[in-house]
Amino acid sequence: MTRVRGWRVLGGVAFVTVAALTSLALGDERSEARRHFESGMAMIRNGRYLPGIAELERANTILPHPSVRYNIARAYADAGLLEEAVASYQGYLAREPEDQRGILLELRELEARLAAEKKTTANARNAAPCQAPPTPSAPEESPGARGDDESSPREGAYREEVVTASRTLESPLDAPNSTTIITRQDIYLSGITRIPELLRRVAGMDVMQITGGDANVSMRGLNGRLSNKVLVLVNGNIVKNDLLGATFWESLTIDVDQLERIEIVRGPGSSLYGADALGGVINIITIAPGEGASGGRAGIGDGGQGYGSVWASQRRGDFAFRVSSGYTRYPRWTRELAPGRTDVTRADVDPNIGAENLRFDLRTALRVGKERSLELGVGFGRSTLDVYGVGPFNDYAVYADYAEATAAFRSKHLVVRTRYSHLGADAQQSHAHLGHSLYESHPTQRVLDTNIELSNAVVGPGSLRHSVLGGVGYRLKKVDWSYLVSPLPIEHHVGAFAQDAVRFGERFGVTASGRLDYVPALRTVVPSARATFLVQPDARGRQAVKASIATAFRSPTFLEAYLDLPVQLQLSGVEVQSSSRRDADPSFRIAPEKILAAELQYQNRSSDDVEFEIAAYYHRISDRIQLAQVRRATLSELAGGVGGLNPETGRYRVGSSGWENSCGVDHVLGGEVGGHYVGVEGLDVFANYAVNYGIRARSGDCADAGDQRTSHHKVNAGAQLRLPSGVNGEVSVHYQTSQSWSEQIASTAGIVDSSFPLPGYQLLNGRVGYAFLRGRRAEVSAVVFNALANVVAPAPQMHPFGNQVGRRLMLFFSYQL
Amino acid sequence: MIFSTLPTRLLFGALLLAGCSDAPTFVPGGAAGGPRGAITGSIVFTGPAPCTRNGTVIGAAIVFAFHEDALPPPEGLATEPAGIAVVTGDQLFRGSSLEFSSSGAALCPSPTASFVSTSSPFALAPLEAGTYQLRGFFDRDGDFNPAFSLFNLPTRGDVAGGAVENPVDALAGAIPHYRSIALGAPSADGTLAIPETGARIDGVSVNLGLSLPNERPMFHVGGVLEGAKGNGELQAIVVPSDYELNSFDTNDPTGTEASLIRLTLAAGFPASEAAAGKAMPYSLPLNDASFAITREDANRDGKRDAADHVPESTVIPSLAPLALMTRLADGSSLVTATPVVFMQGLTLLDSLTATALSKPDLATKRASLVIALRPAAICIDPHHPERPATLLVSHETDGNGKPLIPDPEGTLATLAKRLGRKVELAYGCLRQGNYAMNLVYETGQAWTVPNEAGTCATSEAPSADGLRCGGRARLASQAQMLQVGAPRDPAYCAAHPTPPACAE
Repeated sequence: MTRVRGWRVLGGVAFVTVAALTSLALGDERSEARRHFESGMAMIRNGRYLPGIAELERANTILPHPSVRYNIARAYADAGLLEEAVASYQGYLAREPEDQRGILLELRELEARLAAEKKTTANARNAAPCQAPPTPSAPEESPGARGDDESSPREGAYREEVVTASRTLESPLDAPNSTTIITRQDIYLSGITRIPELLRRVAGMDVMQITGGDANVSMRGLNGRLSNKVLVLVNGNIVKNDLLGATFWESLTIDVDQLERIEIVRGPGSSLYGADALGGVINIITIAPGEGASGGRAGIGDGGQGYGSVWASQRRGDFAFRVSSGYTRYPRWTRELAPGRTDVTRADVDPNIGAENLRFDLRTALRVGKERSLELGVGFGRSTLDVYGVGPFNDYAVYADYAEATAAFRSKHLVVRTRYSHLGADAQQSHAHLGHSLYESHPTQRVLDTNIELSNAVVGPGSLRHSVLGGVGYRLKKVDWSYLVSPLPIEHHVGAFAQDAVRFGERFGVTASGRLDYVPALRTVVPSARATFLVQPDARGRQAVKASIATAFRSPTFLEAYLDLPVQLQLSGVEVQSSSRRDADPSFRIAPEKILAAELQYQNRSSDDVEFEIAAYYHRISDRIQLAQVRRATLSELAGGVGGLNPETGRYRVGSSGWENSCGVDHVLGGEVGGHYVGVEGLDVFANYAVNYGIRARSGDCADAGDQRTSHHKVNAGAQLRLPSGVNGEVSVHYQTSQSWSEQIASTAGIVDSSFPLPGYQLLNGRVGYAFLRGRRAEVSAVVFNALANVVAPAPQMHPFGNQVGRRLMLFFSYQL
Repeated sequence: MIFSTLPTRLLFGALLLAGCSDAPTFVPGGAAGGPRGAITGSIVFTGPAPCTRNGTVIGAAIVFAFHEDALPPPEGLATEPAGIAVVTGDQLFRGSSLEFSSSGAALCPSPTASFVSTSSPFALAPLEAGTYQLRGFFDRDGDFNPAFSLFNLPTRGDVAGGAVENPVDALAGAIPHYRSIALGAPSADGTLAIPETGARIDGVSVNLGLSLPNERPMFHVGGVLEGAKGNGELQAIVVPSDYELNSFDTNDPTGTEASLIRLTLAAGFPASEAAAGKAMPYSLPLNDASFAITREDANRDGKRDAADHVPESTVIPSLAPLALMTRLADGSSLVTATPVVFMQGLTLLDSLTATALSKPDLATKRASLVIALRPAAICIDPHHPERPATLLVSHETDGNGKPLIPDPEGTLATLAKRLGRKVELAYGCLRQGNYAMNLVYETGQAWTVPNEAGTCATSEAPSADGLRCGGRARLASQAQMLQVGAPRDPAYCAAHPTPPACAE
């Protein structure tokens, strides 16, 4: 009689590792591996060890997982195949897992049993050569072996988990927000090397490429230049640019070859993350130190594209590191300045460069006890970027150096994390009409970010379970920039949050979270809250219905809070003073943008072949921060000494501008439906559709009509293929309908609002690759972006002032050690 | 290895080389980056040494670019330049030997005591394709401010000039002939266009050397004669749209004069506003305010003689300052409507007879003058120079049946020459609405009422008594305006409506 005992499925050696190896959203190897895993486990429980082990081996081949290797070892041990069990344990220990000491004990016992068995067999042969060897004894529970962990779910390995929605590891079915994951497989098979383009496939995302180096990402109708309504994290650390609020994706210190996955939380997240998670949160999670093989990848493409990345990853006992260095070059698709222009002054920059980046990143992890680790990291990036600002400020050449240092201590209940970053840049307009300023500046930014989080699970009376989480955060920001007032204050941001996720039995749950943030520019504390009601209708917990309501806010960036810049008009001898403060109204302050969101979502993962979700949401957005209308100079201002000839600029001030909160309130209704099919091994198919409609309600004399800068309809679809021969690839299609933008432009009449329609467009992207050599260490691949450009329609613009985004082809070669 | 074969190396090399070319050019609609025109050159200053204060030079040199189809008064009706370049006094006089007060106090050398010659580069861009004239001045007293019509023109003592073809003669007092600067390349239809690489004219000299002898013709309406024809209320002088003259006969100057609604304009501001007008933010030179009246070179022949007369009569000289009543945009008290509808007043020396008897070399200063309102308006679209202008006259004849335009061809020809386009004649009621009153010297110095001094801006809260706007005094005399109001005979206007060219 065989017993299956002590099946300890390692749900998480370290939560990062587990999460890193089990995440999935858009369909990939995980589902296939999980099928084989579950099939194998079922066979093993029924005593069919060898076929069960074969299934586990197949799962591990598709997607290596330490839990699977351990389970294989245990299965061999239970089957009495001690030599195989020893070999499997040794293979498991070769990865130097956190629990290696306990496993070593098991292994020693097994080796002792094996030795004893061999001795017994040898004695038996010597004593009675014609006697049959003794029947293997029934497997005994190994001394010291861990007992059955009856709380471990059957699908312990390859369990899909996300960390961003609640700042703790959980199933997407339990997450209080709609969550999408872009997996390592998605990144690999798509061939996309720009992180924003990877995000385009997520339902409801707006990805706007303006130049080769300026991409803006938003979601659910919050599209805009210098997009600042989505909080972007790398491994939980905020990486947005505090000067502008936007994220300069190309200046991150990691490239796509270092990514494990990207978690996208759709919907407000300020109740946990504070200011700026107005529309959602994007958490870029890198491959953990020590994970994966070392290697490199190089690529070249038309238009002068270039890509290079090398990395090394190793574990030595309790210490692991991952170091990487990369180079990318993305030219502009088109340029505004024709060669030989005689009417302009040019900056000394390459007019063809969209982005050129050099990056270095080192992350280390040291185990310092049971379920405790210390992580240290440094990163550096040097970028040349062509970016577009807001209003009449377009086509900026930015040369920036960026450095960061991170440290984190993690234990089962405590996370302490700190990060220091420094940005120094030279920025100026790429060109200007003769007699006009290039607005040369040298901004610097220093940010220190420290967070402490405590979490615990509390079991209440009956079937009540609480997962409580709380924490505090401190963020110091020091900025110097000639566009802003001088001297600039050092900002000290403080926040505190708490969350309680309550489960009433297996099917019902409520998650409530709240946060208070002190915003220095506003001199006030801003609250945010979220409540989610969860129902899981089926006993297996593979469906979920969620209703949530949340508030969030976005605090003014440094540019919005402290702007003080004379802006030259098209008539070169005059300017308007663009300031966050108003001479005529010293009490004027920009209010934070606010959102009230309600969402209803249904997720279904009942089938191993198909999973889908439907979400519908309502947003009420108020106090949108936008460029103010120009206010003509008045005689009262002149009487107060404001106006006239500015001796610093040599121009006459004819008015004022700056920022304002929109007097209108946006009411947005939207929805997303998406799913993926993994029923055929090696083939994953995904598709999603998003709809978004909004109206702006105005009262009184509010004349701000807004615009329609988010497409009403967006569709994504694609298929990924992995063949045993080593051929693999992906084809994906994106389509979105038209938009209409209201933008401020410079004219001889001053700075005026003008409307710009933008037609809808489609993108067809594809990648084909061939992996070869033993272990598929080497691979060649070809990637095409926007294959249909100038074939079925002109190359599209994604913003009225942006480049025509054309077709790009790249060839890659990669090799792993 | 994959790199070991020569064909592979060549392939990679070819790909690398093939990629590095210029990105194609694409100028997004609405972006300001498209090719335009530029005019550069030097400001050449020859004139009195500038004033200084606190170690810096007071004032700046301002160069305006005007499209030849949209010149400012008196040649045209433009109120906004196509381009403006500013060179601060510190930049212009860098390298000049100047006087500074040791205490930092303002120091202004006598305009006749010391002369300075200097130059400094300037650039005007972006400009559309077209033909331009450059005009400018050095703001010696530092009171120029383009944000307000009160301060956006040169004043006495400023040193004026432009890109002229006769700089020496102009400095001696001759009428300047401004250089026509063609910007752009000829296109198939003969017009100028900006090529893809932009258009640029270099080496243009803007000569500044003419010290302006007079202040701007600041005024207020002191009285209305024959106002009963309309409404003689000074703050809103009403002229009926079917304004009719009882008599318009050069043989009957008294009767003709009595037929005309006349405004008595007084130089400066009323005594009650003088103190406020001299204080901040106005600081206007109101002491001994007067008008400098001369005969106008109406036919632009460079001479002031008997040939410079009003279109209606050869015996009535055309005097400066010119009086133009420009229609204001509906709902605004400061913005000129487009197309421009203006009534040109008749500048008189006390009376029609006195005016007729004045000499060609008339140059006098008066504390007041009389503007007679013609029952006519000119309708012109400055943005479409190809479209003809319309001379709109309220009646064909006076009350005695005498034609108001006895020589239509001659009148239209004179106007065409003046306006630079064909002029058509129409009879009908005048376009109703509010009209600003403008006085314009031949130097281009002008004054407009209503202006900002009499009107509160949106952000300036008016006081309950109407005497203040926000943080400054409100000058009621500068809110006066002319109105073309309802007709006395609606049936006449129904039968003779305002033509479309004037009614848009």
